[in-house]
Amino acid sequence: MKTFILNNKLLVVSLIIIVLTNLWIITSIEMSRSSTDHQVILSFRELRPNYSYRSDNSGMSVRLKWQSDYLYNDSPILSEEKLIQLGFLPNVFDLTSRKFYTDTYPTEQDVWFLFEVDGPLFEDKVLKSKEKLAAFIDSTATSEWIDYDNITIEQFKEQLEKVDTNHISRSLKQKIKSRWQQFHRLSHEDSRLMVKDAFSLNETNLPQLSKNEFLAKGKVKLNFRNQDGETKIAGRLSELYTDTYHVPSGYMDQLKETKSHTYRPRLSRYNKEQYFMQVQFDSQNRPRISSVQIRMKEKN
Amino acid sequence: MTQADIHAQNPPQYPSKLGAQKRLDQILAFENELKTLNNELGIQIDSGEQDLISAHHQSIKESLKKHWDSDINLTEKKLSKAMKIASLFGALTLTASIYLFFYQIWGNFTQTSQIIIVTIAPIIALTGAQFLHHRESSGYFTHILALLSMGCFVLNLNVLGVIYNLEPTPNAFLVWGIFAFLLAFHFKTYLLLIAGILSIGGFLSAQVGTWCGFYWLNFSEHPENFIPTAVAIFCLSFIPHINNHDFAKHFRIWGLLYLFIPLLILSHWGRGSYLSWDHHTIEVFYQVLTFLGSGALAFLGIKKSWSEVINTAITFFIIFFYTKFFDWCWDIMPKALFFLILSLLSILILTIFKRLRNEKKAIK
Repeated sequence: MKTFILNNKLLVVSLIIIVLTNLWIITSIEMSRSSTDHQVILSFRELRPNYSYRSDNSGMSVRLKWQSDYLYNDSPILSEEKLIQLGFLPNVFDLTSRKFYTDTYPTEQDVWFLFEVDGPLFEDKVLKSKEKLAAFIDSTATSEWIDYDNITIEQFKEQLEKVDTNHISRSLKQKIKSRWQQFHRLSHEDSRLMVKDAFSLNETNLPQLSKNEFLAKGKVKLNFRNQDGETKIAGRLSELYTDTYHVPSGYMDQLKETKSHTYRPRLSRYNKEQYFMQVQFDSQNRPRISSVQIRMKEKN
Repeated sequence: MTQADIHAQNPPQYPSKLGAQKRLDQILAFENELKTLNNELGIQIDSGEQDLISAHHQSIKESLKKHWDSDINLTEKKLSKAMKIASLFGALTLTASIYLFFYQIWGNFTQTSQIIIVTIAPIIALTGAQFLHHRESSGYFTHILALLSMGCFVLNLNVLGVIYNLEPTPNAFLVWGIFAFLLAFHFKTYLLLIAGILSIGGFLSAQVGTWCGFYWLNFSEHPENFIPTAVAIFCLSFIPHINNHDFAKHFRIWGLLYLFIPLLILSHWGRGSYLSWDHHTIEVFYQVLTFLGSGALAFLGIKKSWSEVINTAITFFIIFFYTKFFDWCWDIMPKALFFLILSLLSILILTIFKRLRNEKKAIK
């Protein structure tokens, strides 16, 4: 044995590398998992099927879907002051300097993003969207026949068809339909996950998380934006480092049952069944799916 | 006991298959030259000495054939080349097949089984490679299994990353690089050496990108990240590679590739630079640096007799020159004149090298 080791030192070191790397990864993860149990429930709206998994991959994963408040609120997610807090140098915001273009100063920064699911931020977005829709419908003088709060898409279309075509043109009908569908999708299908805040990786006092919040590491990238005819530099969430969650094989079986007639399990949001996943975060804020629930889709 | 008997009992040791083949080629060349001299000048060695030499050479040939599967004629050499290509192709396709097969079936196993499979797979492949290493003189199947082991180790860390939802890290390239180097030196295989150079190169470039404040996966956006890597890889060729002297040239070639490709990009795309100068100035700076650098490295190659350095530097010198010449002159010059100037420049390069060659000969 001793002779073998002496004659094959490099081979023995290679074997040690395999064993130690695996041990180090597994033990460090198990240790960080044992120290915390923060969890969040995310639905099919926030965790979308990952279609990069094709027929030659029998695994399953879901991709995190989030939104910003860009569509209905023109203010950027991260202001200049916030970006400086996150570690960007003030020189970056000087548009007269060529430095921004030449990337002499880093124009991206690793940060912790604080996400909020189905909280006040999302409610606010829905409210604003509803106000915009109402204002649009009022401007077209058709508000008397649209009760957009309490009808389904089918009922809405039916109602829209009944409207006198002389009173309202076909193109306007299309516009109303498209605006209404936009609002309807936001209320019933779009992700309710909103970016609430961002913190530097060096931040020692990260916020206490409530039950509908979690932290995820990502990248802020600087970009140009136009505000009141003036070009400014703003930060946006350009990438989340762990935005794909692996579905453990035990839960895959549960999800497969929801579509037993197809070979490939499909987690489509158009399915009759809706899925809800409990996601646990360890002390390093690494996610893992810890349970899956299937419910029948409610009619809306 | 004759010299041949002594040799048969204690065959000479060669550092690598290449070293063994060189010795065999030397013997074959000696035998051919002796025959030619005999035909042309009628010179013959004393029959006693001739027998001694023949017996000695014969025992060396047998020993080399047995231990290294060396080629004893041109046909065998050609077949060996074909076998090398088949072995390379086999290694790559088998690794790809195992990799994809795992992903095809992994959904049917529990998480614990998945982890056990991917951890054990590289160990099994490595054990197989070691088992064949001492039983197969040609080494083709050993190399296939060694590369498979590397592929399985890449799969191993990838799968752990997916299962545990880990964020991507450049450290994986460091571990893969070290693992590939260890296997390359143990099994004496170039393919793993190149895998190691690419992995370590990726890790170092990503680190440089991170130190400059960028996310590691975006390291390719700034070609300058590769320049320190190029220097590091080139310098590895100066470490005495015990038993693997021919590895040094691979470090030099890859070091130059890591240097010249970013320079080629920067000489056309100044925006990718960290330098805060005007883009045009940056491009001109890198063009000058490239011309001077490739020329200087070609001369260094001549001085040190590094044929691979000369060839790589000259190839890039010509690529740089032709691309820039095209940029400057294609639109403004008659096409016939454009090609005439290029041909004259090629002749000029030829003349310079001929002169250098003659000077070197004269010094010798």
